[in-house]
Amino acid sequence: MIREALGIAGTGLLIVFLTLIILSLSVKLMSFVVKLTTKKGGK
Amino acid sequence: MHLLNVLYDIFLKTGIPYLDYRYVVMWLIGFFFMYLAIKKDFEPLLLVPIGFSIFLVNMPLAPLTGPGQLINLFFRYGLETEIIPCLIFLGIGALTDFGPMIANPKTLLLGASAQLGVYVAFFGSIFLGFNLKEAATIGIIGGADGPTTIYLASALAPHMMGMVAVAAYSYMAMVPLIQPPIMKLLTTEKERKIRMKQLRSVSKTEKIIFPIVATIVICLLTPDAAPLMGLLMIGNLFRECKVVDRLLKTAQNDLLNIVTIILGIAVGSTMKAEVFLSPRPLFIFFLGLVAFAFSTAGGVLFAKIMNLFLKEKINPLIGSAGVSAVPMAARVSQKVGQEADPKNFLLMHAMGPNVAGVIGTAVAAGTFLSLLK
Repeated sequence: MIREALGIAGTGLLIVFLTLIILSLSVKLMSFVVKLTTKKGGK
Repeated sequence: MHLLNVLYDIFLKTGIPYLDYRYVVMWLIGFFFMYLAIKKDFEPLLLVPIGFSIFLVNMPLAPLTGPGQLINLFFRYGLETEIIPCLIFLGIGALTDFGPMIANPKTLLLGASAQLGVYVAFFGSIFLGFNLKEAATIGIIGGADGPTTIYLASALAPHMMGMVAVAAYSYMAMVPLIQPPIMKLLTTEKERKIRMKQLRSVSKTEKIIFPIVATIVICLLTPDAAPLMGLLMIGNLFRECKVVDRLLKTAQNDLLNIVTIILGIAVGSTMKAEVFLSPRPLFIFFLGLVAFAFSTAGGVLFAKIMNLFLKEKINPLIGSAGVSAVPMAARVSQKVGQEADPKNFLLMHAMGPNVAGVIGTAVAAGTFLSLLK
């Protein structure tokens, strides 16, 4: 059970970090595109 | 003689002969929650209904929690179907400004690192004899997010819902007591004095697009977090698009208040004497505290690690706000920061990891669901 728990915790923490890193990059990209496509970075 | 028999029959139909010390202990626990809420102002919107519900459902013979009875219906249709936590997320989304996080997306990483306690408590629970599903339900207390805790408990360990919900809300209310000593222990005076550059202003367009981008990323990567994240983002779109004022007001006020009442009563109803009075709740409360402490430490330490690579340093005190508990954890960062430098304003900077923590906890819950359900 300990080994299974280790797997779950490791996978879980990895997915949380990966998801939030990808979200962080997506937000950066979104801001960049908005700035690029609107005058003065949008209303 | 006949009269005495009649009176005795009536007496047997009252709850008095069935009253034992366990019920009275539960009443005292209910009173304690009400005291914390009314006198100490600890999460009163939740602890008043939870406290009264604990008191109410521990009335012997009261037809409240049996199949088809009033509070049982609240529990069955509200919590077991997972509707209420999701509706609360709709309200939270309608109240939350993601602007500070959009202005500084790095803070999303602090929201992730502050989930450390979730996994530490998960392990601790296994060592104390809980099974994997129960351990995950206890661990998520470390996320300091009540609705997510209830959502996960209803899916993985419904029998523990009352205990973990009460632990989560109690610790959320005690954020100003639990976090500062850990934050001070892990930072130097110099670090606490770091001043951060003022956040840029975020455009309306960015705020409108954010819920759509976040939904795509999170729901594709962790589909099991979709019910919580989807509703959070719908609520936030209501707020930012500025064209559904009626829906926004309903989500922020009436709907949120209604579901909070039902949630409080339903959660309190799970704390019946026969279930609650055992060593297990004590373990859960202890592990919840461990989870909370490690989550706070995780956020602070990760901010310090980030500072090794960043040109513009961040104040590590904002890392502790990654434990959700919006906005109280952010206020604690501000307060501890101002103790070191009264002219340092960290509140808006701390709101970034604070709202990121809500997303992080929901993703952690979604991951547990996908791995354990």
